Amino acid sequence: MRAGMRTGVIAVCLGLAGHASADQTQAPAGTGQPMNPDEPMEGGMMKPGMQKADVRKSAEKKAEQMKEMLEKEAESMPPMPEQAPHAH
Amino acid sequence: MKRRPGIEADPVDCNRQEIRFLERRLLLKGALSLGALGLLTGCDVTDEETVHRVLWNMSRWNDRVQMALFDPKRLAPTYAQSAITRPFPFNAYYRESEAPVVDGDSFRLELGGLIRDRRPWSLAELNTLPQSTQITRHVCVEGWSAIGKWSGVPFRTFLERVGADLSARYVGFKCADDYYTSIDMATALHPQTQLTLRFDERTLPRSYGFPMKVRIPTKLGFKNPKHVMAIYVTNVYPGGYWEDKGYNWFAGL
Repeated sequence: MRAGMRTGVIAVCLGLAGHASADQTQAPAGTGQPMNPDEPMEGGMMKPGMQKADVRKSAEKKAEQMKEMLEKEAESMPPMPEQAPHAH
Repeated sequence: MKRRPGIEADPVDCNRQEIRFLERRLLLKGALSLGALGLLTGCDVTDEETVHRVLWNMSRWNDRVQMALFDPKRLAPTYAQSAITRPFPFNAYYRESEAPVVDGDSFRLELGGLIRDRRPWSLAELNTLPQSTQITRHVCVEGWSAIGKWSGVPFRTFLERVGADLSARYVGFKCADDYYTSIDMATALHPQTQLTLRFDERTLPRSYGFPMKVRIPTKLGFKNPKHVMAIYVTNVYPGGYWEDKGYNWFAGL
Protein backbone atom coordinates (compact mmCIF):
# COMPACT_ATOMS: atom_id res chain seq x y z
CA MET A 1 0.00 0.00 0.00
CA ARG A 2 2.76 2.42 1.14
CA ALA A 3 4.92 1.44 -1.81
CA GLY A 4 1.99 2.16 -4.10
CA MET A 5 1.51 5.59 -2.54
CA ARG A 6 5.22 6.34 -2.87
CA THR A 7 5.10 5.38 -6.53
CA GLY A 8 2.08 7.62 -6.99
CA VAL A 9 3.81 10.58 -5.32
CA ILE A 10 6.92 10.08 -7.45
CA ALA A 11 4.78 9.89 -10.58
CA VAL A 12 2.99 13.14 -9.67
CA CYS A 13 6.32 14.89 -8.92
CA LEU A 14 7.80 13.68 -12.20
CA GLY A 15 4.69 14.86 -14.00
CA LEU A 16 4.93 18.32 -12.44
CA ALA A 17 8.64 18.56 -13.21
CA GLY A 18 7.98 17.56 -16.79
CA HIS A 19 5.26 20.17 -17.06
CA ALA A 20 7.54 22.90 -15.65
CA SER A 21 10.24 22.18 -18.20
CA ALA A 22 7.76 21.78 -21.05
CA ASP A 23 8.18 23.42 -24.39
CA GLN A 24 8.02 27.22 -24.15
CA THR A 25 5.30 27.28 -26.78
CA GLN A 26 2.79 26.10 -24.17
CA ALA A 27 0.33 28.75 -23.08
CA PRO A 28 0.80 29.94 -19.49
CA ALA A 29 -1.73 28.72 -16.94
CA GLY A 30 -5.28 30.00 -17.23
CA THR A 31 -8.21 28.56 -19.04
CA GLY A 32 -10.14 31.77 -19.40
CA GLN A 33 -13.87 32.20 -19.64
CA PRO A 34 -15.89 32.83 -22.79
CA MET A 35 -16.60 36.44 -23.65
CA ASN A 36 -20.22 37.53 -23.52
CA PRO A 37 -20.61 39.42 -26.82
CA ASP A 38 -23.76 41.22 -25.69
CA GLU A 39 -22.06 42.93 -22.76
CA PRO A 40 -20.88 46.54 -22.95
CA MET A 41 -17.18 46.94 -23.71
CA GLU A 42 -14.62 47.39 -20.95
CA GLY A 43 -12.01 50.15 -20.81
CA GLY A 44 -11.88 53.86 -21.32
CA MET A 45 -11.76 53.93 -25.13
CA MET A 46 -15.31 52.75 -25.67
CA LYS A 47 -18.19 55.07 -26.37
CA PRO A 48 -21.64 54.58 -24.83
CA GLY A 49 -23.58 51.79 -26.52
CA MET A 50 -20.54 49.85 -27.77
CA GLN A 51 -20.77 46.12 -27.15
CA LYS A 52 -18.03 43.49 -27.20
CA ALA A 53 -19.58 41.89 -30.29
CA ASP A 54 -18.99 45.10 -32.26
CA VAL A 55 -15.29 44.25 -32.63
CA ARG A 56 -16.00 40.91 -34.34
CA LYS A 57 -18.59 42.48 -36.66
CA SER A 58 -16.16 45.25 -37.65
CA ALA A 59 -13.32 42.73 -38.14
CA GLU A 60 -15.46 40.59 -40.46
CA LYS A 61 -16.54 43.63 -42.46
CA LYS A 62 -12.94 44.83 -42.76
CA ALA A 63 -11.70 41.38 -43.81
CA GLU A 64 -14.35 41.29 -46.52
CA GLN A 65 -13.36 44.75 -47.76
CA MET A 66 -9.65 43.90 -47.87
CA LYS A 67 -9.88 40.31 -49.18
CA GLU A 68 -9.84 40.91 -52.91
CA MET A 69 -7.05 43.48 -52.86
CA LEU A 70 -4.86 41.39 -50.55
CA GLU A 71 -5.24 38.40 -52.88
CA LYS A 72 -4.29 40.52 -55.87
CA GLU A 73 -1.30 41.91 -54.02
CA ALA A 74 -0.22 38.41 -52.96
CA GLU A 75 -0.46 37.19 -56.57
CA SER A 76 1.71 40.10 -57.72
CA MET A 77 4.62 38.96 -55.53
CA PRO A 78 7.29 36.76 -57.15
CA PRO A 79 8.04 33.53 -55.22
CA MET A 80 11.09 33.26 -53.00
CA PRO A 81 14.12 31.80 -54.82
CA GLU A 82 14.43 28.97 -52.30
CA GLN A 83 11.81 27.34 -50.14
CA ALA A 84 13.95 26.22 -47.21
CA PRO A 85 12.21 25.40 -43.92
CA HIS A 86 11.73 28.38 -41.58
CA ALA A 87 13.81 26.91 -38.77
CA HIS A 88 17.59 26.93 -39.04
CA MET B 1 -2.97 101.94 -69.88
CA LYS B 2 0.15 104.06 -70.41
CA ARG B 3 0.64 107.01 -68.04
CA ARG B 4 1.89 110.36 -69.24
CA PRO B 5 5.22 111.47 -67.77
CA GLY B 6 5.01 114.03 -64.96
CA ILE B 7 1.53 113.03 -63.96
CA GLU B 8 1.29 111.36 -60.58
CA ALA B 9 -0.06 107.89 -60.52
CA ASP B 10 -3.75 107.55 -59.71
CA PRO B 11 -3.87 106.56 -56.00
CA VAL B 12 -6.66 104.07 -56.70
CA ASP B 13 -4.65 102.55 -59.51
CA CYS B 14 -1.57 102.38 -57.26
CA ASN B 15 -3.42 100.59 -54.51
CA ARG B 16 -5.41 98.31 -56.80
CA GLN B 17 -3.06 95.42 -56.06
CA GLU B 18 -3.36 96.01 -52.33
CA ILE B 19 -7.16 96.30 -52.56
CA ARG B 20 -7.25 93.00 -54.39
CA PHE B 21 -5.21 91.36 -51.59
CA LEU B 22 -7.51 92.92 -49.00
CA GLU B 23 -10.57 91.57 -50.79
CA ARG B 24 -9.01 88.12 -50.92
CA ARG B 25 -8.19 88.31 -47.21
CA LEU B 26 -11.75 89.31 -46.37
CA LEU B 27 -13.13 86.51 -48.53
CA LEU B 28 -10.84 83.98 -46.83
CA LYS B 29 -11.74 85.31 -43.40
CA GLY B 30 -15.43 85.06 -44.23
CA ALA B 31 -15.05 81.54 -45.56
CA LEU B 32 -13.13 80.43 -42.46
CA SER B 33 -15.70 82.01 -40.15
CA LEU B 34 -18.49 80.28 -42.03
CA GLY B 35 -16.56 77.02 -41.87
CA ALA B 36 -15.99 77.38 -38.12
CA LEU B 37 -19.64 78.31 -37.63
CA GLY B 38 -20.61 75.28 -39.67
CA LEU B 39 -18.54 72.98 -37.45
CA LEU B 40 -19.85 74.59 -34.27
CA THR B 41 -23.48 74.45 -35.24
CA GLY B 42 -23.15 71.05 -36.91
CA CYS B 43 -26.46 70.09 -38.40
CA ASP B 44 -27.80 73.63 -38.73
CA VAL B 45 -25.52 74.60 -41.58
CA THR B 46 -24.52 71.20 -42.89
CA ASP B 47 -25.39 67.55 -42.31
CA GLU B 48 -23.59 65.33 -39.81
CA GLU B 49 -22.06 63.15 -42.51
CA THR B 50 -20.31 66.15 -44.06
CA VAL B 51 -18.89 67.19 -40.69
CA HIS B 52 -17.62 63.64 -40.13
CA ARG B 53 -16.05 63.62 -43.57
CA VAL B 54 -14.28 66.92 -42.87
CA LEU B 55 -13.02 65.72 -39.49
CA TRP B 56 -11.95 62.37 -41.02
CA ASN B 57 -9.98 64.17 -43.72
CA MET B 58 -8.36 66.40 -41.10
CA SER B 59 -7.36 63.32 -39.09
CA ARG B 60 -5.86 61.67 -42.20
CA TRP B 61 -4.00 64.91 -42.93
CA ASN B 62 -2.73 64.79 -39.34
CA ASP B 63 -1.52 61.21 -40.03
CA ARG B 64 0.39 62.37 -43.09
CA VAL B 65 2.07 65.17 -41.11
CA GLN B 66 3.03 62.71 -38.36
CA MET B 67 4.39 60.29 -40.96
CA ALA B 68 6.47 63.07 -42.50
CA LEU B 69 7.83 64.09 -39.09
CA PHE B 70 8.55 60.52 -37.93
CA ASP B 71 12.27 59.91 -37.54
CA PRO B 72 12.90 56.19 -38.22
CA LYS B 73 16.24 56.37 -36.36
CA ARG B 74 15.01 58.11 -33.20
CA LEU B 75 14.67 55.60 -30.40
CA ALA B 76 12.02 55.57 -27.69
CA PRO B 77 13.51 56.01 -24.19
CA THR B 78 14.63 52.82 -22.45
CA TYR B 79 14.67 52.22 -18.69
CA ALA B 80 16.48 50.29 -15.99
CA GLN B 81 15.22 46.95 -14.72
CA SER B 82 14.25 48.65 -11.43
CA ALA B 83 11.80 50.92 -13.26
CA ILE B 84 9.58 48.06 -14.47
CA THR B 85 5.96 48.47 -13.35
CA ARG B 86 4.79 45.49 -11.29
CA PRO B 87 2.14 44.32 -11.70
CA PHE B 88 1.90 45.49 -15.29
CA PRO B 89 -1.69 46.66 -15.95
CA PHE B 90 -4.09 44.65 -18.08
CA ASN B 91 -6.10 46.60 -20.62
CA ALA B 92 -8.52 45.46 -23.31
CA TYR B 93 -12.14 45.84 -24.38
CA TYR B 94 -12.95 42.73 -22.27
CA ARG B 95 -12.15 41.51 -18.75
CA GLU B 96 -8.80 39.83 -18.06
CA SER B 97 -10.52 36.49 -17.44
CA GLU B 98 -11.97 36.70 -20.97
CA ALA B 99 -8.59 37.05 -22.73
CA PRO B 100 -8.42 34.56 -25.60
CA VAL B 101 -6.90 31.14 -25.04
CA VAL B 102 -4.63 30.24 -27.96
CA ASP B 103 -3.02 26.79 -28.21
CA GLY B 104 0.70 27.40 -28.62
CA ASP B 105 1.32 24.00 -30.24
CA SER B 106 -1.16 24.44 -33.07
CA PHE B 107 -0.61 28.20 -33.45
CA ARG B 108 0.48 29.25 -36.93
CA LEU B 109 1.13 32.88 -37.79
CA GLU B 110 -0.60 33.54 -41.12
CA LEU B 111 0.96 35.91 -43.68
CA GLY B 112 -0.70 37.72 -46.58
CA GLY B 113 -0.50 40.51 -49.11
CA LEU B 114 2.81 41.81 -50.42
CA ILE B 115 4.99 39.05 -48.95
CA ARG B 116 6.94 36.60 -51.11
CA ASP B 117 7.11 33.69 -48.66
CA ARG B 118 3.65 33.48 -47.12
CA ARG B 119 4.08 30.09 -45.46
CA PRO B 120 2.73 30.16 -41.89
CA TRP B 121 5.11 30.24 -38.91
CA SER B 122 4.88 28.09 -35.79
CA LEU B 123 5.89 29.46 -32.42
CA ALA B 124 8.91 27.15 -32.33
CA GLU B 125 10.07 28.50 -35.71
CA LEU B 126 9.63 32.10 -34.55
CA ASN B 127 11.74 31.31 -31.50
CA THR B 128 14.68 30.31 -33.72
CA LEU B 129 14.97 33.82 -35.15
CA PRO B 130 17.34 36.41 -33.59
CA GLN B 131 15.85 37.98 -30.46
CA SER B 132 16.21 41.33 -28.71
CA THR B 133 14.98 42.74 -25.39
CA GLN B 134 13.73 46.20 -24.52
CA ILE B 135 12.53 47.93 -21.35
CA THR B 136 10.24 50.66 -22.62
CA ARG B 137 7.17 52.62 -21.63
CA HIS B 138 3.71 51.61 -22.80
CA VAL B 139 1.60 54.76 -23.08
CA CYS B 140 -2.17 54.38 -23.16
CA VAL B 141 -4.46 56.89 -24.85
CA GLU B 142 -6.61 56.70 -21.69
CA GLY B 143 -3.95 58.67 -19.82
CA TRP B 144 -1.86 56.09 -17.96
CA SER B 145 1.52 54.53 -18.73
CA ALA B 146 3.61 51.61 -17.46
CA ILE B 147 7.12 50.31 -18.06
CA GLY B 148 7.59 46.71 -19.17
CA LYS B 149 10.27 44.34 -20.41
CA TRP B 150 9.58 42.71 -23.75
CA SER B 151 11.66 40.22 -25.77
CA GLY B 152 11.19 38.91 -29.24
CA VAL B 153 12.13 39.15 -32.89
CA PRO B 154 12.91 42.60 -34.34
CA PHE B 155 10.04 43.11 -36.78
CA ARG B 156 12.41 44.31 -39.52
CA THR B 157 14.31 41.00 -39.28
CA PHE B 158 11.07 39.08 -39.71
CA LEU B 159 9.82 41.19 -42.63
CA GLU B 160 13.15 40.81 -44.42
CA ARG B 161 13.18 37.05 -43.73
CA VAL B 162 9.78 36.49 -45.34
CA GLY B 163 10.53 38.72 -48.32
CA ALA B 164 7.99 41.44 -47.53
CA ASP B 165 7.81 44.37 -49.93
CA LEU B 166 9.53 46.94 -47.71
CA SER B 167 8.46 49.74 -50.04
CA ALA B 168 4.76 49.03 -49.34
CA ARG B 169 2.84 51.55 -47.28
CA TYR B 170 1.12 49.55 -44.54
CA VAL B 171 1.39 46.49 -42.33
CA GLY B 172 -1.84 45.12 -40.88
CA PHE B 173 -2.53 42.77 -37.96
CA LYS B 174 -5.43 40.43 -37.15
CA CYS B 175 -5.80 39.15 -33.60
CA ALA B 176 -7.40 36.20 -31.81
CA ASP B 177 -9.71 38.58 -29.91
CA ASP B 178 -10.98 39.97 -33.27
CA TYR B 179 -9.09 43.22 -32.74
CA TYR B 180 -7.32 44.58 -35.81
CA THR B 181 -4.99 47.49 -36.48
CA SER B 182 -2.29 48.62 -38.89
CA ILE B 183 0.89 50.68 -38.98
CA ASP B 184 3.03 52.49 -41.54
CA MET B 185 6.03 50.67 -43.01
CA ALA B 186 8.53 53.17 -41.53
CA THR B 187 7.34 52.24 -38.04
CA ALA B 188 7.35 48.54 -38.91
CA LEU B 189 11.05 48.84 -39.82
CA HIS B 190 11.93 50.91 -36.74
CA PRO B 191 14.68 49.16 -34.72
CA GLN B 192 12.48 48.89 -31.59
CA THR B 193 9.38 47.48 -33.27
CA GLN B 194 9.23 43.87 -32.13
CA LEU B 195 7.33 40.60 -32.57
CA THR B 196 7.12 39.98 -28.84
CA LEU B 197 7.26 36.39 -27.55
CA ARG B 198 8.32 36.96 -23.94
CA PHE B 199 7.41 39.37 -21.15
CA ASP B 200 9.69 39.98 -18.18
CA GLU B 201 11.82 36.96 -19.07
CA ARG B 202 8.95 34.45 -19.25
CA THR B 203 6.67 33.25 -22.02
CA LEU B 204 4.25 36.02 -22.91
CA PRO B 205 1.34 35.58 -20.49
CA ARG B 206 -2.18 35.18 -21.85
CA SER B 207 -3.21 38.52 -20.33
CA TYR B 208 -0.46 40.31 -22.25
CA GLY B 209 -1.05 38.70 -25.63
CA PHE B 210 0.07 35.03 -25.83
CA PRO B 211 1.28 33.68 -28.16
CA MET B 212 2.59 36.87 -29.75
CA LYS B 213 2.08 40.60 -29.65
CA VAL B 214 3.61 43.45 -31.61
CA ARG B 215 5.44 45.89 -29.36
CA ILE B 216 5.81 49.41 -30.79
CA PRO B 217 7.26 51.80 -28.19
CA THR B 218 6.99 54.75 -30.60
CA LYS B 219 3.19 54.50 -30.69
CA LEU B 220 0.24 54.62 -28.29
CA GLY B 221 -0.87 51.38 -26.65
CA PHE B 222 -3.81 50.64 -28.94
CA LYS B 223 -1.31 50.35 -31.82
CA ASN B 224 0.38 47.42 -30.00
CA PRO B 225 -1.84 44.44 -30.95
CA LYS B 226 -1.98 41.35 -28.70
CA HIS B 227 -2.71 37.70 -29.65
CA VAL B 228 -1.56 38.39 -33.22
CA MET B 229 -2.69 35.61 -35.57
CA ALA B 230 -2.08 37.16 -39.01
CA ILE B 231 0.15 39.80 -40.56
CA TYR B 232 -0.26 41.31 -44.00
CA VAL B 233 1.58 43.93 -46.03
CA THR B 234 -0.43 46.17 -48.34
CA ASN B 235 -0.69 49.45 -50.16
CA VAL B 236 -4.41 49.74 -49.35
CA TYR B 237 -5.17 51.74 -46.20
CA PRO B 238 -6.30 49.07 -43.68
CA GLY B 239 -7.36 51.32 -40.76
CA GLY B 240 -8.06 49.57 -37.49
CA TYR B 241 -10.87 48.98 -35.02
CA TRP B 242 -10.41 52.10 -32.90
CA GLU B 243 -9.01 54.06 -35.83
CA ASP B 244 -12.21 53.42 -37.83
CA LYS B 245 -14.14 54.74 -34.81
CA GLY B 246 -12.33 58.07 -34.99
CA TYR B 247 -9.09 57.55 -33.06
CA ASN B 248 -5.99 58.90 -34.78
CA TRP B 249 -4.41 56.24 -37.04
CA PHE B 250 -0.71 57.16 -36.77
CA ALA B 251 -0.93 57.65 -32.98
CA GLY B 252 2.78 58.38 -32.60
CA LEU B 253 4.51 59.35 -29.36
